Amino acid sequence: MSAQALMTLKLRIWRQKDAQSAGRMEEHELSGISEHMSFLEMLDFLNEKLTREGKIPFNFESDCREGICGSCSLVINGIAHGPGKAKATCQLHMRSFKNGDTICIEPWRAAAFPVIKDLAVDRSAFDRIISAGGYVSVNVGSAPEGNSIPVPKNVADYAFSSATCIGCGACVAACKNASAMLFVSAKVSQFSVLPQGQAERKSRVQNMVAQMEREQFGACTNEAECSAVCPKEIPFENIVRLNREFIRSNFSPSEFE
Amino acid sequence: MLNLDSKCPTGDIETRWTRHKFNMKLVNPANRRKHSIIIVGTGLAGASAAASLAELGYHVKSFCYHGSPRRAHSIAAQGGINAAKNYKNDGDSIHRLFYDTVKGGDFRSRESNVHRLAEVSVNIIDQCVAQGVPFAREYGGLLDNRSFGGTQVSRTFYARGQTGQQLLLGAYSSMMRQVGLGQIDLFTRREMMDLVVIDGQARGIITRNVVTGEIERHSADAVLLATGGCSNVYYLSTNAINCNVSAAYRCFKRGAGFANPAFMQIHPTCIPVSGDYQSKLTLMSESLRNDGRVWVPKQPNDRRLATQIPEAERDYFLERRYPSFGNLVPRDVASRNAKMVCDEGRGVGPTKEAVCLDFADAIKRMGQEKIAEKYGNLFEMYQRITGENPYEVPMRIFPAPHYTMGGLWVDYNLMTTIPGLFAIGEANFSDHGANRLGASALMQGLADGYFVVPYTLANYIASTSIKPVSPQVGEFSDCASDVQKRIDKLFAVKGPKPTTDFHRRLGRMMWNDVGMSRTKDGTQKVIGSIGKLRQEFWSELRVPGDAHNANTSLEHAARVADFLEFAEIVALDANARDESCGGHFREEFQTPENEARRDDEKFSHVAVFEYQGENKPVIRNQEELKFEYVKPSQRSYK
Amino acid sequence: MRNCCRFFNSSIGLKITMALTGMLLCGFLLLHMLGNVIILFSPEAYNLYSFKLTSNKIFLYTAEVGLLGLAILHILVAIKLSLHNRRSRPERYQNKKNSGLSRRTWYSSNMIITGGIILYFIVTHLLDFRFGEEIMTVQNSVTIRDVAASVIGEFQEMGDVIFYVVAITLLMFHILHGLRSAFASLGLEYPRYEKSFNVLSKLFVFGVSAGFIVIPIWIYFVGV
Repeated sequence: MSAQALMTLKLRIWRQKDAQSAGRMEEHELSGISEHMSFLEMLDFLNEKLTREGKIPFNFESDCREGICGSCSLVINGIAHGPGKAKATCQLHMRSFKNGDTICIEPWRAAAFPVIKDLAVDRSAFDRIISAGGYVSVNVGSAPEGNSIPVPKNVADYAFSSATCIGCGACVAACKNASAMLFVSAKVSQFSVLPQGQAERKSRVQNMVAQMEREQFGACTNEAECSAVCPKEIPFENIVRLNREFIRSNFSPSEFE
Repeated sequence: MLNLDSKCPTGDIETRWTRHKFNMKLVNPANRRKHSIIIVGTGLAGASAAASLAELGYHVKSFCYHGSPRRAHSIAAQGGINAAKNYKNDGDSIHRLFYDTVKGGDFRSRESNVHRLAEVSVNIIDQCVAQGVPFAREYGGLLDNRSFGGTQVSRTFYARGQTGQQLLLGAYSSMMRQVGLGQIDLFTRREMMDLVVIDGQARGIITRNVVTGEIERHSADAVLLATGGCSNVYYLSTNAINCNVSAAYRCFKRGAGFANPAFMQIHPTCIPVSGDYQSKLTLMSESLRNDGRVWVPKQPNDRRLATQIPEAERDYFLERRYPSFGNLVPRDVASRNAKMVCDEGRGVGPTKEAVCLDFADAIKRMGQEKIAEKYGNLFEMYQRITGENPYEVPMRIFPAPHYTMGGLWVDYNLMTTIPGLFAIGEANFSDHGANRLGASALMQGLADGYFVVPYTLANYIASTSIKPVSPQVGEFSDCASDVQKRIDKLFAVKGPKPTTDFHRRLGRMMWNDVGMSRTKDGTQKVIGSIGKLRQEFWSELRVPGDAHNANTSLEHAARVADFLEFAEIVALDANARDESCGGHFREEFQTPENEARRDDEKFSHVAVFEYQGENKPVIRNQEELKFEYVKPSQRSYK
Repeated sequence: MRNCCRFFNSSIGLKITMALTGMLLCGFLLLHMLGNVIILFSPEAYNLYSFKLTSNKIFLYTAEVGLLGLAILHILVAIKLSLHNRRSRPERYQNKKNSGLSRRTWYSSNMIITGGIILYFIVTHLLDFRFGEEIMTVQNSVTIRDVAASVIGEFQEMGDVIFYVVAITLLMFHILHGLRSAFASLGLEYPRYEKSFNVLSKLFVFGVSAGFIVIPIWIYFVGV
């Protein structure tokens, strides 16, 4: 192990007291940063320093710090979850930056994600979309024997690749229209390909899309910025599938309605 | 003295739960909506309990400190979930799962509870499949299983390396459906600050809205605690950084017994600490030990890079000491041995607190492609965190605190010593004894939430007189003002040091003396050090900002204040338990081969701590354990 | 009916409207281009084609009203969506970059601007040709409009040629994103066929634009 050089960085960070107040960028110089630090540890380090100096630390969200809970956010130098592919902010390390760099840190910005404080935003709109239809209605106790519902391996794998969404909201943050189509489509796709999801296939997509509209998310312009920043690399084809499911739910004839 | 009647049914173990279910009272469907239930925590246990109770018709109020219930730390579980389905036709059965769990827990769990867990494990899989959880499948479309954590049967169901996520999203979706239907009132971004006990019954909680700072009162007929584990008492652990003991500890202070706090699970394959700034440790799946070989240099203080150390100067210590199990010894054994060699100064890496996990042989044998296929995502994760390529240089791993087998004491009905207060999932202590087997945590969380507590809670409600209570009554006001005082006290210190300072030091103390191996002296001394640190905390802490809006520093400070008290109980238990078992290893009690030596004569019991009041010593109560079906034996992996 | 209303009021429904109107307008572009290139081969044939096209007034007006309807719908929905999208992010980023890993291009993110310029072009184009001065000529002893003369007259000025070429180039970029996006909005983009689809749609876009662009350049530099 060679002795590691410590970095000094210039940080421009969004400061906003609460949802009602106006915000602004605040500048801080921070030295003593090891390249092995994670990005969030660098912010912890800054916050500790601010606390010692009697200043107010920055508020940001994080929990698992291993890229699965979806709590962390941050638009870093203009890119949701920062540079690099397939990772959440908590999985970004300082070796991606150079001594003397200026790093600009902003919260997710969307009407549907109001700022709570500084870099933390309220993403409960996603929960409301799920509660509108992102489930299979099955009460505890009424489930049939597991193996009585065979699912071909490729279908199960496909469903998994959609179900792997962590609900972080990077798709919304990166989209120029703050659209939530990737989030909604991932859930719709998971259930539209699985046999368990068939009974509510139509109502699910209708209800989830209706809630998505109510939450003030923008429309999709099919540029796939969402997939590009997605920590789980959820493919754009989910959105195509959502469109298809939406058309199907509106126009495919049913004799039971 | 606490009343530690476990209320376990007697008689034939296979029909205990069935008979118990029949004997319990039911609540009329029309009456259920008149009963409200508070559930704190939305992990596997909390979300599944919220969903199933709401489906039954109860009025559920669900609380979590996250912005969304889906962010609870169950989401990070990688490996899988056990169930005695015997789909592989390899001789698995409910009884075998029961047997393995009791034995794996080193005979410190209740047979009745464990058997029930094994019984309902099969229903869990059915429920999750029906919810659309995308479990791994075989080509014929049926569910796939793998062997996990050293068991001889393949009973682990999995969804790639994200089983916890998929199960939690399943429970979360069921729960959100009930939120949509109006059966659950969801309160996110609420920290439970205290439990309200009225006439001896748990009747509500005090929460702090972490966005507005408001202190809120919530009343109910029963309170369910599903607040997870407390490995963060070690500061660095595989838990999420916000995981805490506060909710459970507050209940402890209101009279709930805390069981087996010394039983901590240390997971052997984590990415080692790289510096003081480190905020958490990342777990890598145990499956890595299937092909990786663990070694350290033979000579202490070897400063060479791992790749420069020739074969002859490497010590494959697990293979040497455990020829038959080799690198696949159970978690506690692997962890302890890693610590032992590091204590001898033979650790690798900049901190000397790591051992090598080497894939060079496996790559030679199977080719890099095959290894990439098996472990590609783990290697990638390792490289991302450490900046080193594990295909070229050996991985460095070190054990890290992972799971707490201990928790609030509960009876067979999962009720704590406070009537009306239930604890489920990792927050209780009941099923894993002194050591948890891999892929059993998910099973227990969902078993408690989906299939146990809905029955036992109904029984409590139906058989207890619960008077209506308003959140304006005196007990609520007293409790709320206690909470306010605690918050004010934290701000009032106005010292120079941030909370992390204290948390980090506490973690270091705990890791050194109440970690993987413990001694009578060490645990005794650390109690004094914790006391001193606590004093320092209350005179030199700085909490920036104020209590009237979002303030993560305040949340952290309040949690660490509780950890500083709780740590002492962990040390007390470790000190009092003069034996080695499972996750609790006392150096004085080992066989000549350095294996854990249990003392079934004196310690075949659950240690249950009881709070006596400010500045009074806690009492260590005991619940004796009886083994009728699995005869205690010494574990051996030689 | 209520179903339909709800459908077209959702953002997905609006995008589908954009896709359908856009694709129909693309179909018109193809026919229009094929008709126009006749002029390069024979101005007389071009006049005859134009005469045949406009002689059936019922067909003419139906087609014109239809096209106008499509265009208006396309524009109105585009405006509605743009406003909706603006409202979805009231506070802009101080610093925003593209990931560089997606389909986003300068033209895909400026559709409303290229669209606006194209609209301006179409209006002038209609004023020039549809509502412009009608030069008459006699072909095969029938008096018909000499549209070829108007076209040739139009493209004698370098400035007009450049304006036309620039407008068509923008149109090309507009439909380059638009067509691909339309398939996605209609749920017709399947991963398995995505590549061939992409090639075909690019062929279409470049073919149509080349056809349009060749005309003024040919007329200016070579003459017909």
